[in-house]
Amino acid sequence: MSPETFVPDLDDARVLAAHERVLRQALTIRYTELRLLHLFSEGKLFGTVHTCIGQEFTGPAIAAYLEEGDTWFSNHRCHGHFLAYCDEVDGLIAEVMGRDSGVCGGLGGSQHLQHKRFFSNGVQGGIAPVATGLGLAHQLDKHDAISVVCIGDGTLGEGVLYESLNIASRWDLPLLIVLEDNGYAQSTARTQTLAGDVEARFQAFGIGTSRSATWQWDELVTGMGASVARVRTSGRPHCHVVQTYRLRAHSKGDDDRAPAEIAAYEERDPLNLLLARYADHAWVRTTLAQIDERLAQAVKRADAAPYGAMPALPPRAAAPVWSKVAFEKQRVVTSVRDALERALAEDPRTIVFGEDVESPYGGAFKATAELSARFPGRVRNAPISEAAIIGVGNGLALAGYRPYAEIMFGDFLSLATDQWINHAAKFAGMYRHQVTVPLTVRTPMGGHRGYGPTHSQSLERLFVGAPGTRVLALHHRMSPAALYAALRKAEPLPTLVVENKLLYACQADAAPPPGFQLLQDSAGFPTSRLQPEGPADVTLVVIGGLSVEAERAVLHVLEEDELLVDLFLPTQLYPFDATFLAESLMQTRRLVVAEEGQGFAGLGSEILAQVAELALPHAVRVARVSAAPVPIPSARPLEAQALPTAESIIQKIREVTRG
Amino acid sequence: MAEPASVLVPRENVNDDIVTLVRWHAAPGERVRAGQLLFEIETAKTVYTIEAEVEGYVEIVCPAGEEIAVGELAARIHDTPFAVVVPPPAAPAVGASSAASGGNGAQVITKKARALIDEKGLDVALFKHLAIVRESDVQQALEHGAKAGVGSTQAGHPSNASNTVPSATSGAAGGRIGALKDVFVSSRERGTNPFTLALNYLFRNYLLGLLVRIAPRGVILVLHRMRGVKMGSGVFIDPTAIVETAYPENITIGNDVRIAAGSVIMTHLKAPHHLRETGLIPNLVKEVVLEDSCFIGINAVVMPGVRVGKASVVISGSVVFSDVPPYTMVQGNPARVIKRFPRPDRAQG
Ligand SMILES: Cc1ncc(C[n+]2csc(CCOP(=O)(O)OP(=O)(O)O)c2C)c(N)n1
Repeated sequence: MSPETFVPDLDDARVLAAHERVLRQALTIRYTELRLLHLFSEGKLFGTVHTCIGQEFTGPAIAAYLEEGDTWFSNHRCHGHFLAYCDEVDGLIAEVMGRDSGVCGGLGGSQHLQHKRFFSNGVQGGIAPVATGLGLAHQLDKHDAISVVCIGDGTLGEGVLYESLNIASRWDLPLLIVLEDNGYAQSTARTQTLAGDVEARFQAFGIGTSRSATWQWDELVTGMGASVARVRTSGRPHCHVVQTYRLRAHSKGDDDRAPAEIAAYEERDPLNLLLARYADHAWVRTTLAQIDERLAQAVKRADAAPYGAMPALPPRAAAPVWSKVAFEKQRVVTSVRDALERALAEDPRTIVFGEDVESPYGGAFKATAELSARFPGRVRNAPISEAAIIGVGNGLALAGYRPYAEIMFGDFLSLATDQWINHAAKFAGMYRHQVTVPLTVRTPMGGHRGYGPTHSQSLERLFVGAPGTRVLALHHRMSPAALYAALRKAEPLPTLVVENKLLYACQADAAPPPGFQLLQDSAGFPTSRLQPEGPADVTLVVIGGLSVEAERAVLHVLEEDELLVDLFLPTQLYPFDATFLAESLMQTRRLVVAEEGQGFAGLGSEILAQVAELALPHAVRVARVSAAPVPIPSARPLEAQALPTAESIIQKIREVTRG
Repeated sequence: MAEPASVLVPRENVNDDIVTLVRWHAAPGERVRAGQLLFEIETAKTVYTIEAEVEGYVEIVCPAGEEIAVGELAARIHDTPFAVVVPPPAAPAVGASSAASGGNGAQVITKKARALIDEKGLDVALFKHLAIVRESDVQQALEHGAKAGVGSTQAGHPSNASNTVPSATSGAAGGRIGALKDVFVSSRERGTNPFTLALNYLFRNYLLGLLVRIAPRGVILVLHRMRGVKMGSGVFIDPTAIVETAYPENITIGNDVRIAAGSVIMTHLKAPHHLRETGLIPNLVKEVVLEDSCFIGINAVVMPGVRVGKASVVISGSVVFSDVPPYTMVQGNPARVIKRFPRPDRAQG
């Protein structure tokens, strides 16, 4: 606590002029947050607020140097940053009060603000790769805009931060990391959880660091200016550590720090000292009066405003219209590759990246073969950082790019779950659809290759059901190229496309086998239907690449058992509406659902539940086909027992038709 | 004579269990030396070349253009010359129930149905109107008096398969069928505009013969288009070529296609009454597609349902029953691939 707190000489007009803007912002932040705490005790706020009382100078220091195109990503403690960015006192107060006039219509609330190029999200660390992606967008835009991300010292514990630092440094991205070190994460002292040195973490990635403190906020402001300039001119990442102290509770009523410790910081707090020394200063009095008046008006207006509107829910699907399909017969992986090539050629905003996607390797399954040679810089090898790959995709998408991220094996999507569920899925909805996230994630799933327990799974069931996202799956009775073409025209939602390792080598083919016709409904991502030429006995719904085995099963039971199976291959797994099955089930009254993943709480369970809710006039006999509840064995004969095949589907078809 | 050596498809990478045999570098029966290039396979990644490991005479098991599983037999190499068996043209997929081929609307006969048909010595043509023939369909036909040999009844539910056109004159077997009546019946069936139909008839029966020697090339193309032939640009059709007589709308011709003198492109097949009525040769209407830049040589015949691939050549006098892959040259009756052109759109090696 050695050096003295900086208190400017307000009686010197030149000094006052030099600091007025930052001081006014800091005071606005302080009094807005005090008002929010007051509103909280009055029961007028929803959830909680994390105030930055004591830390106010960081935001104004950054804002002093930002330019029009710059982006700023903040965290749970974001009010100060937000007000420094745009001074939207009304929008903030209304937002936290859940009102329609809030910056996000009350959908985001305290931790999820968005206005122009300012964003915040309440997941520690997850914002780092998104900000990195925004940095990549700035680099690709060839402007000198920079991306700023604010994190707390507790967030140094999150792994995805280091994936982001690595990428930002290796790819020379203009990213300014502002680390507000207030010594605590919630209730835990930094000394208890942090090993090693703070700056050394950044330096290990070749990222320079600077340090300043709240108490010498004049130096903080000039230091931040130097940091911003450094990022802007070098186009490289930099970290600025701000030593600070939070004077109030982490959120509300949860402060276990020693009162004496807090009191000591209260005494040296720059705003407290300034207000004590200049209580009767004309500028201070008018400024405080203006702020008071603004806040009073803001609360009054928010109080009078209606609550935000509930987002519109998608309508129920209508009965489908089926028609015959035609598409060029093509190897699935070639079709995917060609679609990516077309997207790259036709839309300069298309960016393809992932592990090992560059030539000559061209992706573990060759879906990006030769693309990097044709589109240098827009097809990129990423480090083994699944979370950051999707996170960077999120940032690019927020900036208006069309990123296609490849995750080498579907199994590894688990590492990026937070980016998918808490970022990609949430941005549009929680920011009141003021942004879109046209991110496509492609990944192969599926087994039968002897790759064993961690490279063979079908995990789509873990990724369906995140509102705001779309999950699609390839099968051999649709054209992958057509799917990707449709995706480019569709509503820009984060979309996971489940590809399939075995399917890559198969032909996507529209020519039906003898005795069947191939139909598709009119949905944007149509369901394919292999309908027998005659009244069907069984309805079969199959997920993804299991389609090939399923069709074998269908042909087998026709030949051997004289059973006509109406086979449905949905392309869109989420959102999913089973209405299209009603007509077939009215005829068959028997339903088999088959997926390669686990059956427990799987796609099949969802389909059966929805079919039950269709309340058909008669009972439907049902059966599920799914993987055995064991880790997938490597040994091929054991794997074949663990995973669904034509044989297991045939067995269930026979089961529902027996007796 | 020793057992022939087997040439199996090798595994080239971890990803592909099925590859495409893209090109043969040896002809059937050709003598090859060890180390000589045999064929190329295409995986998801690239094209690999496969060489002969022993000297001998090549027997091709997997033709070019087919998919083949890793570890499967692609060829045998005999130590003595052997009789080269020419594979027959692809038969219509009647009774085939594998997913491998199968065109739209082809028929499938179940195992039990097939057994009963065989047991009773029935003619499968009895069931030509059914896309799927089950045991119950055969039983029904038997109840309706179907007998061994030529059938006289049709059995089962009506088919919605699109390639079997009901006979225009069913029930009139033996009667004299005038050309005019034939026209009207088929006009009604097809719901075609009578003007178009009349134009077709005029064109094929009268105008064509008349205009052959005098019409400039452009006019011929216009007339074909008016008849309903779908056609790209830069097409040449010799005046003496017959571009389908009854269903010209079922023909699609790409850009830069040449159809030389005397060629016949057919999209329908209509046998004499007896053969039709007994179902021995059912009526057939199937689209024909001539892709961009293909070349139909003098006096060649293209039969219904055939797709002639891009930049392929049908050599003069050939009769084409099955699809011609792109960038190939076919010859003979039935036409077979005799040469493959390098594909500009595919990476070599
Ligand atoms: C991934 C994640 N884990 C836990 C939390 C709950 N949480 C919210 S704030 C916080 C402490 C964050 O500490 P720090 O990064 O130092 O920021 P500060 O609160 O001190 O500003 C925690 C644990 C969270 N929001 N996200």
